[in-house]
Parts: sequence; C-alpha cells; structure tokens
Amino acid sequence: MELVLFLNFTILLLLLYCLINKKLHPLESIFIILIVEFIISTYFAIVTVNKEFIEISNKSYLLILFRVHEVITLPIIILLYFNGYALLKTKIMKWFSNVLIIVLLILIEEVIKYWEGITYLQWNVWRSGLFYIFLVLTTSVLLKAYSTILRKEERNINATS
Amino acid sequence: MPLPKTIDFNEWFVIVSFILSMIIIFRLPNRFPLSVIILLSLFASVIARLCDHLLAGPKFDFYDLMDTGKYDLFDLFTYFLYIPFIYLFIYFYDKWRLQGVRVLFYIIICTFIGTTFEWISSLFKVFNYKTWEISYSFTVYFVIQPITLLFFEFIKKHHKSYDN
Repeated sequence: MELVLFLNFTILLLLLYCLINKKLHPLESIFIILIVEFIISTYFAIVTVNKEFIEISNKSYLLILFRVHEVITLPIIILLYFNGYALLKTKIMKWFSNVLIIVLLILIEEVIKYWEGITYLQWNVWRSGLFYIFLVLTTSVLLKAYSTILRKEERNINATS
Repeated sequence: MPLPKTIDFNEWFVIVSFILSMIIIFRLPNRFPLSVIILLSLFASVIARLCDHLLAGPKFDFYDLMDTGKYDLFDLFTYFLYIPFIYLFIYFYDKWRLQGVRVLFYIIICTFIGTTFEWISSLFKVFNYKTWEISYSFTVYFVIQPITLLFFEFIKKHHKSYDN
C-alpha cells in the first residue's frame, strides 16, 4: 500500500512537471537533475553505508520505495521548485518558497520514516533539514554559474550570426 | 569519506588512466561548447554513480568498488574516469556524423571497448565482483551507450550552437 501511494505521488509530480509552464531552459533543467542526483546518491551512501546513521528497511517494497524517493521523487521536487522559483516576483514569495521546499522535503522523509522505510540510528530530523538546505543552496549556486555560461554562449552565437 | 589505507595498484590504475585519457582529450581540437561539455561530464559521472549506488549498495551488493564496500574518496575519483570515455564516445560520433546502421556498429564496438576496459579494471581490483559477471556489464554498456547518444541528440536540439 505504501509503495503504491508513493508511486502515485511520484507519477503525480512527473505529470505536474510535464504540464506546467516551464521557465527554465531545457539544458538548465537537465543540469539540475544531474547535480541533484549526484549530491543525493553521495549523501545517502555516506549516511546509510559509511556512517550507518540511517538504516534502510530490509523489506523489498520499502527498499524500492526509498530508491524511488532518492532517484526520482527528490530530483523532480527540486526541479519543480526551481521552475516555480523563476516565476516568483517578490522577495517575500521567494523566501516563503525556500522555507516551503525544505519543510516539504523533511515531511516526505518523515512519512518514509513513519512507514519504516528508513530508521534513524544516530540521526535526527534537523540534520536532514540541514542537508536539504545545503542541497537547495548548492544546486542554486551551481545553476546560476551554469546559466551564466549558457547565456554567454548564446549571446556569442547571436553576435556572430 | 574514508581515504584508502595505502595507495596500491587500483588507486594508481585510476590515477594513470585518468591522466592518460585527459592528455588524449586535450590534444584533440575543441569540438563542443563548455555548457555541453559540463552536461556530458555530469551525465557520465551520474550514470556511473547511480549504477554503483543501486547495484553495489546494501541489499543487492553485486560488487565492491576499490578496497572496501564503503563509499571512499577513490570511489569518487573513479566516477571522473568515465568523463573522458563518454567525451571520446560522443566526440567521434559527432565528428564522423554517424547515421543509420553505422550507429549500431559504433555502439557495439564501443560496448566491447568499455567492457574490455572494465575487465582490465577488475584485474587491477578497481571492481571486486561478488555475484556480478563481466557479461552483465556488456549488457549495461549496451543499454547506456544508446541512452548517451539520445542525451547528446537532446542537447543538440536545445543548444543554439547546433541551430541550422
């Protein structure tokens, strides 16, 4: 039941991404997905394998649920966030969206914990919160750098043509 | 992230292979814009990272990378080793403007090269197979290489420098 619910939630997010008005360049979206995948898989390898701060469930359906969360759900949420962020005009709205995304990511992790997909051993929710802040900030800085490179290349092409 | 206890054969293999392949790349004329190189590099590292994370992680644990079953610093360096290979793969695909059945031959040849390189890496204990076999890697490369070409075609479609 948990896996089905989570898969439905992920499909909902994927459909939402397909249907929304995208503000980001397609290559910027790809960049976000790749960066987020790399950071998340590294982070979870460190906290689950190296340090064993978090234990993943032995039950196969919960393991699949957790892997779907890592590989699809989290990156798509971050991608939706950056697409939405580009639409926001006021500083208050941007600040509010920053808080909202962190709360949402923590909430999803709490739900997986409640379903016993993961168990905190020497970990707490605040540490996860700090990681999500780091994830959003790092992605944001790297995206800014990548966008600058992309725009500069496009300007050069326009200038020469 | 743990450091290796000693720098032995496998670490040297990764370092030397990376340096040699980067020398080859820097000797080739520049073909792609920086934004495309960044995406190709990220794609190479992320695909390798995800495959190892899912296949060599807990529960499945088909193989180990480098000295330990943990994610150590040289595991991370291993992912940089995929960058020159994907770069060369795309470089010659683009340079020779391959089309039709030639693409299939190109994929098959590159899959053999990739599998052979992985087999050599396993001799140097970069990969320590448990229940994994080299023939499985052939299939994995056979799936990933067409995806890489599709990824490059996607980039070409959306990057202004490829507008005709």
